[in-house]
Amino acid sequence: MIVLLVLLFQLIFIYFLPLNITSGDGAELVTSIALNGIAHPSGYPVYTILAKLLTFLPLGTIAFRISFFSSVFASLSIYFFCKIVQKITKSDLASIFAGISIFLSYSFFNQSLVQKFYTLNMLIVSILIYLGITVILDGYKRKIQFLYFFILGLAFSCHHTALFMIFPAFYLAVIFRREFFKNFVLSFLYFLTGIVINFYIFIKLSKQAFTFFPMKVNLWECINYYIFRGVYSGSSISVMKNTYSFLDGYLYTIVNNIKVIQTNFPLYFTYLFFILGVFFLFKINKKLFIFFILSFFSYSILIGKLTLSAIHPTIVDYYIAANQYFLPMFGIFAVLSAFGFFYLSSLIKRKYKYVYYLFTILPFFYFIIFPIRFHDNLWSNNIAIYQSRIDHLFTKPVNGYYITMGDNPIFQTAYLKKIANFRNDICQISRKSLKANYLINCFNKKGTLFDAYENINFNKFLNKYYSYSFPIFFATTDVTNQFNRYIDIKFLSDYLLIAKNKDKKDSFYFEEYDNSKDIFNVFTKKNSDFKFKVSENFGKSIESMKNKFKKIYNYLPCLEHCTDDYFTYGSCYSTYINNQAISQDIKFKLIKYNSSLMPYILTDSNLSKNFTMEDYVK
Amino acid sequence: MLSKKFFLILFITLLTAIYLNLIYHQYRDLTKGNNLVKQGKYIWAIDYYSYVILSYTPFSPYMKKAEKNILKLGDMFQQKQDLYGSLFAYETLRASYFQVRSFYQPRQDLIDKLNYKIAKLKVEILKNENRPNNAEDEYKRQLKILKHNDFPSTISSLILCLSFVAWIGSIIFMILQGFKYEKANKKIILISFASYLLFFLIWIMSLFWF
Repeated sequence: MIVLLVLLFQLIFIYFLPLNITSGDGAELVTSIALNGIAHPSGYPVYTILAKLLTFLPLGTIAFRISFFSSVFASLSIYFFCKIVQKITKSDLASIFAGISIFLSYSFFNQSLVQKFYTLNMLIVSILIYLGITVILDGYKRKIQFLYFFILGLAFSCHHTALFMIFPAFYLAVIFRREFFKNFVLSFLYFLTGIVINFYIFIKLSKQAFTFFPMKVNLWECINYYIFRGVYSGSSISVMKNTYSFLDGYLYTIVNNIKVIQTNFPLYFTYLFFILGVFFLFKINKKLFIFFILSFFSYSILIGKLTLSAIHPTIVDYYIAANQYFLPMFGIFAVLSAFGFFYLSSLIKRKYKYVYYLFTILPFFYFIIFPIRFHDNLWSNNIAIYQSRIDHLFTKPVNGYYITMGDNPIFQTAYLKKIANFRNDICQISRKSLKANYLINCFNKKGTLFDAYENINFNKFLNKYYSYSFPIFFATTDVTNQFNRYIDIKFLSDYLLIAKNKDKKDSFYFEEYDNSKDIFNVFTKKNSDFKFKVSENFGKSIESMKNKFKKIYNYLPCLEHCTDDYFTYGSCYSTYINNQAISQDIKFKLIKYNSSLMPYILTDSNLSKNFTMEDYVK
Repeated sequence: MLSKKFFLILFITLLTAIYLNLIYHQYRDLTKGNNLVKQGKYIWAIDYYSYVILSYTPFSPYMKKAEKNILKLGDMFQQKQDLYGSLFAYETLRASYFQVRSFYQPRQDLIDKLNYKIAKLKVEILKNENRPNNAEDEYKRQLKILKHNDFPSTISSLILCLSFVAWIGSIIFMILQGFKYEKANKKIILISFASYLLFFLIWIMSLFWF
């Protein structure tokens, strides 16, 4: 029964799968996987290698196959959560209740379709919970301890949040302390065997494999930079310190967690079942009760404290943290609710048999949410991200330079150049953040790939590699948002960067980053070192190009994407709405359509209000 | 316990579902593309035809139609001296096939032909825009760029992935079968440990070599 249910879910997922890259890290992961490279820290080697295996399937695009991979992990994790319910309640109906409620929860559904590793993470957690309850119900078995430790080791090579299962494991170790310590040494060896997968990162870095985050090869630096995510301001270690600092944050965490649960489980009877489920578990088995409470605490309050403890979380907090990190919590919440459903249905069955038959329909009642998924997560319709990036890249002159900034423009442009081999004559210069160096994805004068990630003196770089070419820089709007004081000329949806004011007082950028100074001086005549000559007919060239590229912009995918994806809005906005080539009535249509797809996750009315296309345009 | 037959049926069901899903998308996008051609929106039609190719399914009749239509539109643009239009058609078609690469590269023969066409077009564009480059050198350069491919070889990637799955599988097998009973099964442990060592070494070597 469970298998058939999971198969049905998988078939539904297939219909919803995106045909190409999704937003955020999607393009980065697809590129890294396809090129046997390294994903962003912590590298995710287990995910990368397993996903690579699926890219050999000759159906759809590489990105589609990787999305299919996410959906398979999602289905498997539903299977394990259903098995957990079945093992404890021996009821198919209760396990169906858990399965359906997980399947239709907003964030879970979303993450099952995009190119991300969070469903793999959820699968690992579900297996570990299953192993935990097996030990409690069936008695201690050393093979389960070994397997638990090995999977924890593997979790170290996936998303680190799976390691939170150490807390419930600690409880199991206390219960079975004699057996646990007897087998501890071998268990620890299995744990290390799992961790060893991280060698992939170190070896691939030394072999200069493709990555958006290269570094000098040094084992300890690699561990700090990649494994503990030292590259980010919030490394794994510094984030963990937050668990005991600012204890008042726990209060906000609970409030935010409730909001997240409300968004994902909108049918309120589930909360009654959840409370009954906790009571039921306490009644039947105290050990199971403590194990589940610890698991739930780890994936709700603890993760919430680390990632979602602000008094007023921003849209990005909700969209990134709430939408990704809490998946295991939804699984455990659904399982506890299923226990409550089972408990209540058992009580009713004893006294009111006919009411019980009516009650059995309840799990399927959840399907009333299903039509909403066609409105907020029909990723098979969302080709807008891919199309807008194609339009951005194509509307550059031959042998032009394209400056990208921010995750989405950098990753998606690099995907087009590396995987699709689209417009490789254009030189991509990227800046991940103000602190990072430049990523260059260009071919030099002789047509040899000049793929590097380093500090650049633009004068030297351009003279050496591109001095014969067309001296125009185009940048995504993301760049211009950062440097809007330098914008002088608007060119379609992109901008030509020219220094407006060289006064240091007006420029934090000049003060801090000398290397970048040159890029803004390219078009100033005072820069005598620079060999480029700005054409006298420069304005005419711009006008003629405007006409040439006007017909390229295909905004239709932005009018039918059927997803409430935050970054799809961004792509549609920066490519078509903020575009002189698009007429006002089309812009109005685009705004109206995209505003109608308000992110479902943003239940807070103030946040929703802030998130309209009208505001963008203003 | 779930049988092998069950897994086979499951596998076939999933593949069939994916195949039918992609065929449906191909039909949908091909129809949209045809409608756009009728409206005279040729560039947008190229986009939709390229989506047909992105929903790649071997032996699909829609693929050939979409490819033919893109080439036709590309040639039409070239005849009209709309070089960027023509470039868009050929670049889009070429990019679509690269994105559906699996253990083989579909339509490599067409990609090779397109490389020459695209290089020629880019040189012509540069010439029209009065950009001072040597045409012959530029053609060679563009061709070299177009022939560049970052994809690792299929065999090396397969060795890397399969050896990884094999050593993980060996460890799991060792745990589940070797420690199944109170008394450890030394034979199974030894065999699975040897298998782990072998595949782990292959995996590490494949990381260094490929």
